[in-house]
Amino acid sequence: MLEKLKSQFGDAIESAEQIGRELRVQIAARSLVGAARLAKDEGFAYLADITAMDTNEALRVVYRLASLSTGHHLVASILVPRSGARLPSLTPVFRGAEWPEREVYDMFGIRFDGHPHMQRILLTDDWEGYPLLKTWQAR
Amino acid sequence: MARGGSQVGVALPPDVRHRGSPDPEESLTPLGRGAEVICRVPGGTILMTTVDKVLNWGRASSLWYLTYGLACCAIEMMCTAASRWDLDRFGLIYRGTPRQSDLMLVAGTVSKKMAPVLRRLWEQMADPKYVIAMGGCACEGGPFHDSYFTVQGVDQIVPVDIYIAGCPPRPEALIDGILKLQEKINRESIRRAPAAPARDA
Repeated sequence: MLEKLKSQFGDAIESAEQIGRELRVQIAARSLVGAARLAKDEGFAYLADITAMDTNEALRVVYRLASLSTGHHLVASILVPRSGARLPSLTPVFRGAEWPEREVYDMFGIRFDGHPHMQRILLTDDWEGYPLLKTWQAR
Repeated sequence: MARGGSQVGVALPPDVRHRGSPDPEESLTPLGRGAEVICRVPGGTILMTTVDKVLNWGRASSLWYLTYGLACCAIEMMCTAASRWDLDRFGLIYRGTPRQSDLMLVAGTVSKKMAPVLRRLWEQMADPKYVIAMGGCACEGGPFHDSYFTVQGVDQIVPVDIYIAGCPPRPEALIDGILKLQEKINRESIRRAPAAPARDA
């Protein structure tokens, strides 16, 4: 799988390591949708989760895919700037990406282009700020 | 003999007069669980009581509660209502509509998105109505104290009669809270009925 990713996307794969049955790659945003299509064709057909974390320097968006036939996991992460970040939506590839992407937008303010309903999902529509950013102040 | 308040006589069907002690010297006899509620005139078919006591007896003994299970406390609430603890023996049964509920049992974490819904359901309940805040979250936010999206206590939205601590409270604690509420109801009087809560508190 890693070889196929490297052969197709080359330098878009910024780092890769395999731990047990889990393959962790860091990829560039421009290759996200293509890599997701390839992974789906290769058997990683289950999008388990999309989440993000604030590393203070940047936001790391994490896509976790699983192969239900082999039990392998593919964890792809993308670094994006902390404010005003945009990423292509995975909803054309995985229909189930719709709600997790809304949640990431809700909590971190990352917008997903091509998403059918890019609105808040858990917080109220008039909420201001993105509460899981480390710069967000509770009061 | 009932003390205070206006007195009400209740006529009994003829067969009732033969129950209990036939002793004519017997003073006014309390009947069963209504010991503080109803007194029977010896040898007669008349029961003496007060409006307050009958009303409170009825209200406290048939609290139909609107289940507001929002989190893990709801599991304990369901458990309390099921056969092992059996809330039904206190006259409490689930009612899935606010229109026919007397008690709102808020069991769990109230998010700010849920708050207006909870307030509306409370407004749809008919008076007299009571609210129990079950568990730390409903009392004051609990483990979600200072959270960005948790209401810091359901008493910020609706008036609360009984607070039950615990995370979650055991069924015994919930039953104790309900008994406390029944005591509270039994102290009420129509002469000093609580003012209707403001509609937009």
